[in-house]
Amino acid sequence: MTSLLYIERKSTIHKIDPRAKLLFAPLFSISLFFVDNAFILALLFILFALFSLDAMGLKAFSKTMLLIAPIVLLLFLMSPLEERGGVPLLEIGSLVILTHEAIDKVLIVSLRFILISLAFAILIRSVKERDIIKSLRWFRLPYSSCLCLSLIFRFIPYVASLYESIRMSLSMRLREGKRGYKAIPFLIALIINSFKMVPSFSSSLEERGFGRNGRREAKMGFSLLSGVEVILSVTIPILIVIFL
Amino acid sequence: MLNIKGLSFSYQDGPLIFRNLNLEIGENKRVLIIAPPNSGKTTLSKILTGSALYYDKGHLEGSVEFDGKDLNELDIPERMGYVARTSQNTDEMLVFSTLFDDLEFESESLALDEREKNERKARALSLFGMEGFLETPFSEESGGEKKRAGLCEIFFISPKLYVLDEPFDDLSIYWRERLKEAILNENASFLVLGSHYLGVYDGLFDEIWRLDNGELFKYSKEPLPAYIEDIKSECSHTLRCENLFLKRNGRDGKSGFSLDVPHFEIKSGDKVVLMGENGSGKSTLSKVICGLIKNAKGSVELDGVSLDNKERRRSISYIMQNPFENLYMPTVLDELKTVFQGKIGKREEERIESVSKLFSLNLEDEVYKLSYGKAKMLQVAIFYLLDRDFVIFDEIDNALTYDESLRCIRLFLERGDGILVITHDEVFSTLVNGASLLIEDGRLK
Repeated sequence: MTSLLYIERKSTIHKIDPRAKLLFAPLFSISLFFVDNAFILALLFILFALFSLDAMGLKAFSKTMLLIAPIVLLLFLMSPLEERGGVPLLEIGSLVILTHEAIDKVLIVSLRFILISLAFAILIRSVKERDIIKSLRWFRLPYSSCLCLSLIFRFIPYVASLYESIRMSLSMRLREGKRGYKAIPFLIALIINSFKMVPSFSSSLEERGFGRNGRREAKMGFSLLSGVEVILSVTIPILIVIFL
Repeated sequence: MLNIKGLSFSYQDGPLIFRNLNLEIGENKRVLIIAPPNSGKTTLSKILTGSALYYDKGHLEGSVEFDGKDLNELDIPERMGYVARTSQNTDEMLVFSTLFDDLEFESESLALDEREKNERKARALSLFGMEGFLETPFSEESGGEKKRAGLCEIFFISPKLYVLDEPFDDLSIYWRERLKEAILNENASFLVLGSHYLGVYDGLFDEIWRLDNGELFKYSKEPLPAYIEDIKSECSHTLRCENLFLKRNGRDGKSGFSLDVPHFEIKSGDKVVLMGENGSGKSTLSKVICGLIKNAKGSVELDGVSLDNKERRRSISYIMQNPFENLYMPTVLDELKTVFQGKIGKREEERIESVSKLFSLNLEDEVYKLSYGKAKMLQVAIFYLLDRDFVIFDEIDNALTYDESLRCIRLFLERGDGILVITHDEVFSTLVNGASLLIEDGRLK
């Protein structure tokens, strides 16, 4: 069963104003590049892991971590080869394979990557798609850009559920080999069915009134915080991270 | 009042779909057009909303007026206040992720104030029992629930003319009656498009037309086709299911659905009809039987031998609702050839030729230009060639005429297969003339 990205929970993170979270995620990501201490990043990781567990539960948290694991692994394998200067920890003949500095660097890079991923994962798991759009419009993002994002939010789970239907449907007629089914028929059917939906979706959008009445305004409906409070609630933790 | 005068239409390089078509739909009148698959129902509905030539090129002649206003002069969005449609393929008209978002968007389009929006929303939701589905992602809804969501939206928009393309498909008997009631009580004009006459249409329409070769003729109720007679099978296979059980949690992790079928059996030559409410578990049961759901408990045996999921997928045919999800090759011929896994000799070619004739298919036709009905016939033809002993038809009567649907079922029965037919149509279930089963909340009765 395919679900949307948002997870319904009553966590502390869920209660925070969506605009604050939307602003926090990118600013926090940028602020991480001012932190060059692996220990502090590790502490932040523990903190964010706890927030994530609270906001999305163990299952979704594990899924997120599994999703980024290959990239982290790749960083651990490749980065040390680029940083050869410093105190050598592993050498083969005259070739320095691993240094203390390389380990430090790879830890910093990996932890930054994990933290950025978690910050955005918490955002999309704890804010409804429509609230993300509303928040973006509150930040004066053009309506058409917000609409594109809405459609992406609609299309991702649609394509996922379409794939599931195609997988079931085709597995009833295709022969399964030792390594499972060949991927090509599934992908072709998925691509064609997805592309077929594009003109239908876009004409439906107009049939449902997109382009009518010129300018469209959605009701913001945010009552948790004022604009100033949103900005403050974001900048204070970011500044703390930077000064750490 | 809708006034279509001298409408002729063809897509670029395509045949003429409508030929000098004339139709009037008066204020608060309800008109039904019965048209076989591939005859231009969807195109007609798109001409009315202006989206027929949205991406495709074509040639349109004649006028489409509503209350004296030439609709062809209006952009698609501006027509919304006059005419709105629902599509046969519900997915393409559900624009955002949830019903809540769609209704908000439509409310903005119509510039409704808060009070008006809430009133319309409450009314539309209660008409189709969708109060609890506002926040449910469309991708998690069953076919019937999505259909009701689509209907909910059009009743929320409340246009002067409702164009409903196969609106009763996918709906259970209860919701068909509710839709009929909603149409009767609505202060608006309706154009309903259907591939065959349904019992629920009785007493609903002021006029009924038949669309044939691009022209409209007065519809006279035709006698129902002959029901399927019992055919003695020369095969003697038995498909037995014991203690099938599946539990699924809802999005909140608490509510959910459970399928619990202690015993189900079907033999060669049997015709079994399975009916039930939307979301009652008809398709889930079929998927469990066919080995498409991994974590289901219980056993499925063929002639006393227990089958694992992989063996079930090879032994049973399951003809799902959306044919396009089952098709991936460029032409009809290519699709039929896939059944033989590349081993095509003279005998196989002859089989393909004869099966294409049986199912009225043109081997050179491009698959993705086929109408929904034709694609369905191709899907059935593929499973016919696969030649398995048991077949599940999931709402085959949607988009096909009774004649065509019954012909397909009869062809499988004639060679001795055991058939399970899922339908919402009582008349069709009578015509299949088999043992009837009812499923309620995942339990077989």
